[in-house]
Amino acid sequence: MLRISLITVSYAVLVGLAPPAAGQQRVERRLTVGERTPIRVHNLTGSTTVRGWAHDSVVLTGTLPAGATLYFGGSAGGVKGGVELADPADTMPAHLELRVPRGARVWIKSASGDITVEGVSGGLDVYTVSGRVSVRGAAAELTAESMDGAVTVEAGRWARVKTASGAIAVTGGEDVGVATVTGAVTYAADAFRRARLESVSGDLTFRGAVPRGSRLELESHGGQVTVEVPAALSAEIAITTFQGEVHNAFGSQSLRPLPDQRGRALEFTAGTGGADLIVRTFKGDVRLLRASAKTTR
Amino acid sequence: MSDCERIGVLLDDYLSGTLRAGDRTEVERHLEACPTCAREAETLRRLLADARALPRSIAPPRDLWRGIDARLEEERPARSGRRFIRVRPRLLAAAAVVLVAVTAAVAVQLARPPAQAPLAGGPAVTAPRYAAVAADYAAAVRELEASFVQRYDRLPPETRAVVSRNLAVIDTAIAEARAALAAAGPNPDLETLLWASYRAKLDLLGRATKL
Ligand SMILES: [Zn+2]
Repeated sequence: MLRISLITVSYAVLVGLAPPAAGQQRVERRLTVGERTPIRVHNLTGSTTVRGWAHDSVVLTGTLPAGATLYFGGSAGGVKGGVELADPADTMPAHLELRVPRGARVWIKSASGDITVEGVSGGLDVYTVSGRVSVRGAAAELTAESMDGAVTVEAGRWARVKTASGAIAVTGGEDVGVATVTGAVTYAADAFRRARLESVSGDLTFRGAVPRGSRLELESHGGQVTVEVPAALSAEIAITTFQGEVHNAFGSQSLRPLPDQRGRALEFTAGTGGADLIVRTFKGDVRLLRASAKTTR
Repeated sequence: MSDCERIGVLLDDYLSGTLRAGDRTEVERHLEACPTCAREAETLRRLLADARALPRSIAPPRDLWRGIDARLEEERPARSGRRFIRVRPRLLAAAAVVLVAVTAAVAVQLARPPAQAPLAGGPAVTAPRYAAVAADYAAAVRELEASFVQRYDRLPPETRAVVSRNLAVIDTAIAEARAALAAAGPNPDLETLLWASYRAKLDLLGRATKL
């Protein structure tokens, strides 16, 4: 395999299929790497798209604003690519698109740029400030953060997603952690092992099934918590709130006060138990809803 | 852009006294009518005031973290029956410290095995430890706030607005949880919520600091 000989090929092709806009430069770089090579991409503006493919090579194409410089290099031990803007305050967008080995571990950092990843199964760390993040195709390990942009993720085995105010939508995964301050969170899954959603004021919504042996926790200070699950739910349910109200479609039980002004709790077993569903809020309302057959995944 | 977003972008210049008269009047009117923006202005005012008293460099709050970590460790056996998934303060501490240096953060993110990352809610801490842990968190927050303030001028106005708005929401949550705890006494669930808000604040400050 080439990845042992570390043959690296790097060249620029300044021709393109379509002419770049005035002042823009079109770039292309190629490099032979290993199946699991770590790849780091740094592109502060515009967009970065990464697609996994079944080849041991990295191909980077893109358009850069005038004056910006592309740096790109590395070996099977690691690849780095990125855009250096002529002026750090420059917000002219650079658009990068990379093909990488599917099993690669990819790290992407942006500021205002959007990040899109498809079909990378190795590992993924994506970070942007105000851009959107979209991940399709279940990376085994995924960390995604945006301060303000929306994050949409198909989780693989392990996923952690974080925003300040950006909305978060996660599907699937086995071990999933989601945290936001004010963003709205939705998590849809039916085969996870453990999942934890938390917010300060953002609403939290879970849709799907709670598998036997799993643990689902939703915790918010002031956000509304909605759990929409099939009527066949089988879990130990523990809801605690201080000032919130609880709507429970799974029985006639209602909140009872805890001793010593410790808030109010609703605890019961749905079906035969066998999983943990834990909800904790300070003042957010809690809704435990039966999914209609249509919306059940 | 909503009114609040518009005002959020202007707040910084407003508080620095560099806003044009017309805009200043608009901001003042809005602050009188909008408690959310008024709180945000208050948070900003405090951050800007702190900035004037800052040293040029700040060591990461390692010792504080050790304190928090040790106290939480002491509490664990007592609460084993509740099966809360526990936060790993040491890792959180490592993360908070690492966030200050982007290059280090990159290395850690790439190298980190998933099993080590904190998923968890905080361990609830019972009565006598509460005040000490709360004080440690507050101190850690202050340290990161100081680092954040140093970098504040370099952030784009939109980012400042986002960070300030979210900090204001967190501060309100912390104040509410603390007030409830003060009224009700020791309460593991409430403490869990309070630690979560503190962690949210540390995390947001940490991220804002590495921008
Ligand atoms: Zn407002």
